[in-house]
Amino acid sequence: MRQELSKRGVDVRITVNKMRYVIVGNSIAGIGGIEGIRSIDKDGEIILISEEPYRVYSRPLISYLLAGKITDEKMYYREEDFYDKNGVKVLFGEKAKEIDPKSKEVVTEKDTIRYDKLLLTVGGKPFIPPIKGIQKRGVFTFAGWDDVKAIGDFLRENDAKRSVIVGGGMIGIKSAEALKNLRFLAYANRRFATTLRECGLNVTIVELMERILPMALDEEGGNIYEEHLIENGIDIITGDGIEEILGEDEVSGVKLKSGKRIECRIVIVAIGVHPNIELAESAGLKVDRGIKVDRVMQTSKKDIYAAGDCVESYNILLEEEMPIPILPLAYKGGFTAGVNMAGGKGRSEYHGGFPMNSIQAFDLPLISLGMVNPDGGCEVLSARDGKNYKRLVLKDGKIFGYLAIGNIDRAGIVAGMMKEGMNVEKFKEAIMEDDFGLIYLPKDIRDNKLRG
Amino acid sequence: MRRIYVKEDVCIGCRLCEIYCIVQHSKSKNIIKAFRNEPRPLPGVLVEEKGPISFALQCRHCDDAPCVESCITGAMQRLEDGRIICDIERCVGCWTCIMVCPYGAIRRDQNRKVASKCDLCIGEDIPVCVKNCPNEALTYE
Repeated sequence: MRQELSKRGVDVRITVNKMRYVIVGNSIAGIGGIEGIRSIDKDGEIILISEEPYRVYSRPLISYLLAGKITDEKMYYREEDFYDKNGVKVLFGEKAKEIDPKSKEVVTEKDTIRYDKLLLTVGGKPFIPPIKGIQKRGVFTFAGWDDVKAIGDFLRENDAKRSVIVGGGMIGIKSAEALKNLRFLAYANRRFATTLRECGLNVTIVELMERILPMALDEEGGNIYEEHLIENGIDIITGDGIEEILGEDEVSGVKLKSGKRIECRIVIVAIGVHPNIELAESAGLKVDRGIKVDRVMQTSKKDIYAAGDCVESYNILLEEEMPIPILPLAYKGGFTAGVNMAGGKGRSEYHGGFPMNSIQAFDLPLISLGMVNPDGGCEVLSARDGKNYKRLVLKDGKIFGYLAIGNIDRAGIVAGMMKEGMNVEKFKEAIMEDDFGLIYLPKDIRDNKLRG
Repeated sequence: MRRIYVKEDVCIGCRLCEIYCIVQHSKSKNIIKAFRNEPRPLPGVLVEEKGPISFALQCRHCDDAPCVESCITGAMQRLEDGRIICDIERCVGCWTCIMVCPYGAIRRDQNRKVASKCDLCIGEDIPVCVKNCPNEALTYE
């Protein structure tokens, strides 16, 4: 095995005291891991196992790429020389099949790789519901670069005019905007330029819940955002699901649970993402909805760490562990894991977080923090002016949820107060002001911030 | 690493810091051209004012920077000297940094659809807002 690795350029010299870190997964948490390790240990060997053949890119950017708002070059999350600079050997196109915690080895299709410390950043996978006809040509997920390529290829070869998006969450809305905006490809993206019509697709979003973004928005916020999408030509059907995907081998339409039929050539399944837990589970790691980790991001097995969309994070608002698949927590968790793997002490504990999302479609920004739809026992303040909307949810004087549509400026101050668990009872009304800022905070808190 | 601090009691709310910041980050660095002819950048300093109170706020260039950790493109980054900058070529205006900055020190440049913030005036020993504050309300220490 050592010879094989050596042939492929992996440094297999036996050196004393030199750690070998192995990272499975080449996305945000994995990169956080590399940067965390390197903040402590400049010399240890890092081997990164990357299933996808690409150097690290940003998944949230795939909708920008599909819409032609950015080019391929802008997809990359780090500079081209990132791995070299950080002394990382990347095994592209390899999949980790098994982990043996006893012998401390990761088995891929080609090799068995020994590790001293292992980091699992294996992410999530799109949930594909068992709908009749889901395997037909023209059905896509929307989670990675390959999905954009597949959708692009399909659109180039097929005269598709209508599309259905299954799921009105973040991914559903961003893919809807991208498909609607496809007309921009005619001049914005060379690869599609000669083949696409100068017109976006008709897009219908089908959401099972009573509104789009059911977690991130409340009823009124949902109304505002739905109206905005409709104004921009997106059709929205809520409270209904897909019964069947129609067509022979290729998609010709969908049949809804209500019986309604929609003609379309392309279906994008955007229901949500589930943590990839199979690898961890087969290695005997403790797993619930995601991989279980402690405050230093170590799993139930010594020397195996995990971070990113594959783990459960501590939700500081609900005070329970759950998957919170958002990029900021992926990076932070990965970095924290890296620091601890390298034996560092500073920045070495991870205290969890809460769901937060910044999203905009057709130029209407929206920021949603924490729990905007509480079960009860909460005080709610809200204010609306046209498309501008704010909603503040308070529990025992602390901010439990916050939503801003339109005027999202300074929302980070609110997020910061939520993270700190600050009691805002005395100035809660001020948070609702249009020009809310540090100046509205009590002087002692403000002084503290300004000195920060 | 040196940071800009404000003395709230001394700030007179004149907003000259904003003007100097705009000029410094304009194409020509000439106040007339910057305000009359060129696309005007947003100031990286933000003056808050209410009643008798005013103060200028810039990016804190945090040691543990949520904007850098949360940036979806890698545009928000720490340079080797410790300052945090936004590479506007890579920024797509997703506003995740706005969502996580606990000081609210990042602005939306809605014309260019990129995040705008203080870069501590690259190439200057002292940031221009500090250098030109008429009442010495801003310090760089």
